[in-house]
Amino acid sequence: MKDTITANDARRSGKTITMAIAILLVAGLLTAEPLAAEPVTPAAAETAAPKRLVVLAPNLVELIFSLGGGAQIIATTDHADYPAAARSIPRVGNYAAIQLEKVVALQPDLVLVWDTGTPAADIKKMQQLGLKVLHFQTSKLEDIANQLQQLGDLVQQPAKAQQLSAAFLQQLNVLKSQYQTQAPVRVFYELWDNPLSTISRDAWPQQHLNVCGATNIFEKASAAYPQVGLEQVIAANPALIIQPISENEPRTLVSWQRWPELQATKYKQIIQPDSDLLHRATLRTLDGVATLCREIAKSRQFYAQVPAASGR
Amino acid sequence: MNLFHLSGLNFQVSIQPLLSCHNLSFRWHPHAGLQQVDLTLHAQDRLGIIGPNGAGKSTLLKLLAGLLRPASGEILLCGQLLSHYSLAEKARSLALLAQDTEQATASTVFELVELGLLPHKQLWQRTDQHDQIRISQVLTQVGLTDKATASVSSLSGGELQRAQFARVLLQGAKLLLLDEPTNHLDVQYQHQLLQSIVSTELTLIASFHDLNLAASYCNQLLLLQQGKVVAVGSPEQVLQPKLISEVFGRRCLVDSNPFDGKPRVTFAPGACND
Amino acid sequence: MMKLLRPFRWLLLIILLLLSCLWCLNTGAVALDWQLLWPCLFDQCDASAQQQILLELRLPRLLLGLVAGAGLALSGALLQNLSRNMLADPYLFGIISGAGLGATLATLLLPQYAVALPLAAFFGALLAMVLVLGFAALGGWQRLDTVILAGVAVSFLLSAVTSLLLYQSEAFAANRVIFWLMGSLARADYQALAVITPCLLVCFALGCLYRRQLDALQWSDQTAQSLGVAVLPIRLLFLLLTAALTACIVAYCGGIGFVGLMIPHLVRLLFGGQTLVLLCGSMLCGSMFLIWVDAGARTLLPEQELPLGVITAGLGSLFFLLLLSRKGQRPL
Repeated sequence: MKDTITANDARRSGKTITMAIAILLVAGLLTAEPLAAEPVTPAAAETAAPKRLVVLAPNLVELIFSLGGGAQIIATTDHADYPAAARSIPRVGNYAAIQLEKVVALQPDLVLVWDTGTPAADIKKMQQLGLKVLHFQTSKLEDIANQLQQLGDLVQQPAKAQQLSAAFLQQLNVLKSQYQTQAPVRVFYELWDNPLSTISRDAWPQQHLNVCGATNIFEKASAAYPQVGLEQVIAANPALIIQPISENEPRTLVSWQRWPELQATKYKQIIQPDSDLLHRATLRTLDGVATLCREIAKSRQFYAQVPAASGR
Repeated sequence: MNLFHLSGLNFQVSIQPLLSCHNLSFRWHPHAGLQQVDLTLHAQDRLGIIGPNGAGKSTLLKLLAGLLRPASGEILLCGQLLSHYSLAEKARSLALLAQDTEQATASTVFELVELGLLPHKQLWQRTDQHDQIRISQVLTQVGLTDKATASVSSLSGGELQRAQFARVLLQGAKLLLLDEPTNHLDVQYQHQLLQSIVSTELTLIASFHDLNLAASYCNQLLLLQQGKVVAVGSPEQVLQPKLISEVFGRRCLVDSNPFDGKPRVTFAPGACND
Repeated sequence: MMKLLRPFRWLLLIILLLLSCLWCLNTGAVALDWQLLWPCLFDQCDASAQQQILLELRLPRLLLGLVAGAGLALSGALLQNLSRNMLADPYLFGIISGAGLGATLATLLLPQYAVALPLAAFFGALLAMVLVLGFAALGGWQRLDTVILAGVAVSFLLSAVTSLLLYQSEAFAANRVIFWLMGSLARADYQALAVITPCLLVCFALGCLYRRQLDALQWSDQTAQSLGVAVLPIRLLFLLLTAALTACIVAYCGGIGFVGLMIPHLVRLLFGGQTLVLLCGSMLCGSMFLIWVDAGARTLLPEQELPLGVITAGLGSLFFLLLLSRKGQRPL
């Protein structure tokens, strides 16, 4: 009995964890309007500007570095690997558990947490221990700009934050106006190969597809990151297959060559964008989106030139 | 039941049976069960229940031990309905030596025997000095003094049965029910165990596979066939060659055991039937 | 040597437990000063960060480890005696899957209330237990095997529901629930202690009072009954008690497997199988084992915490392999 349960758990956790890590860690520590339980008022921030930050999300670390405030980060979590300087910051846990002792011993002025990626029990405990905790959550690309401004106040670079966030929004608008209204390309977004998983309308990377004028064949699935059958993909016969990959977190890919009757295979319409850029909510996200849009646009052009192929 | 009746000029006490049952029935299957068993047992009687497999020997013992509720009929223990006894009272009056297939292998002989105190103790009472002495006494009685601290799993089958018997002695019941006490025991242990049991003054009801053991150690036998009592009486009365051949479906010969003069049954081997 | 130590084994065990407590208080991700340990425990030291780490992080965690370890081992010992099945375990009733379902619902529906998770996990565990006992009652209580089989069935049913819910939800929730199921003492606070400790004490007290009945049950139901034990009521009482105790522990600590299975085995080897000895020994050893495991979880990896279930399951399986190879042909 014990065996069956353990085996079951192991099987389930094995599967789900690899997938969750793929989605979550590589993916997004997405941030936006702070739902501060202990709000740091602007006045308080001015009088006692926080100098020592514990930042428990890789994307927030990256944003702070782009504002030039990296030196203020005294501790962070696993997977905070960009820019290179971030790799030398001391670690105090991961998305499963934070080493509270270390956080307390560091006596930070402020702890920045990511609501979905930091364990809720640890957040609660930190508040009980009297630490100042600031919450972040991201659901839209535009949220990155808001976050920048907020972090700019924290690290006392409001002007730079203003400038970067304006540039970010502008770049986003350019991408939207360039690609969003183009003829839709039907794509399959291969998030993970085994179990075969993809994204639907509630997932973070779906926004990228919207910006680039691509139609996700599984957009209407009820789960945000659904598992799908190979047969479903073959039946939907996408024009383009997107296989996001990461240099830091290598993974295996589905070999679509085994299905030559698939439109995407037949015309070699398979692209492999950088998932570090696409899945993490930082300033680099738009670089990733821009590349993705270009690749999708190439595919769009290709099918425009081969009219016979564009029909299903 | 405790009747006094006038007989001439003297009051004479009619001897009250220790255990009696009337019209006892129980069904373990729609078409099979015990039917209308009557029996009366006086103090220090030793009753052997014999019969082929499935005749209802174990069921009868369980009914008498109060482990099963009869479909009809009543059991009287010392003149009172068995069903009116509380669990602890029942345990103090009758003890059961069941065939435990499972063993608590981690316990010691002392701990096994100590269980006999259970019906005599309140929840919070400890095993005191006096109890310890009594435990040593019963261990001496069954000849296991030197095994008191040994683990139960290190005992031979015969020693284990004797340890169980010591537990039953400590339980202090006057009536002892034995379910196939000699099963799985070597011949010398069978006799050793039964000898130590009959050497006490306990009243005994035991089921037996071996008719000759039953004849040697019991003064009454009860023969069951398909849930019905076929014969009851002294070993000489019950162990009739014709009856036994009929019930067990095999030719047999009854003579007298040269050692104790009790009847001895020998069944015809193999092809010698008919 | 062992013979010589025998009379003092209880004393030794208690001393060892106390030393372990001190050692665990002084072990952690942050190195603390030995000399400061005592004054800081009694609120008389100047290093406020050190005091906060000791009093608000390590002490509740240590205490929770003590009661949770004792509780799991006690439940395991009671269940093994009750069922005469040496592989019985507090998670027998699908308690862990029930708690998992509760935790999942709390994570999905009420993510903003931290108190919702242990509460929901507790009710989930209770639901599992009620289902199992209900099925077993339908089966007529003939054998305890019925209860175990019902436990397996309920376990799978609730796991299926949990998986479905998690699958339909965001990936983060699945992640959180899975890590919660792997067990941790990080949730430790005095509220958890206030819930678990009374349960533990009631179980222990009743176990001690009914020690003879539990001893008798180790032989057979017939023997126990003939000794005057009300087999069914006692079994039901202790099934409910252990299930409630385990549910409380699971609600705060998640799934910590193998403690309830392994510790009673160890105690039987060291101290013997009589109920009273087994219960006391299991509680002491269980406490000690879990605080060691937690100290390991906090320090084995320099930059992270390990889930407790990972360590206990690893050690547990090693223990049983060792036991099997030592006993050879003899069954457990």
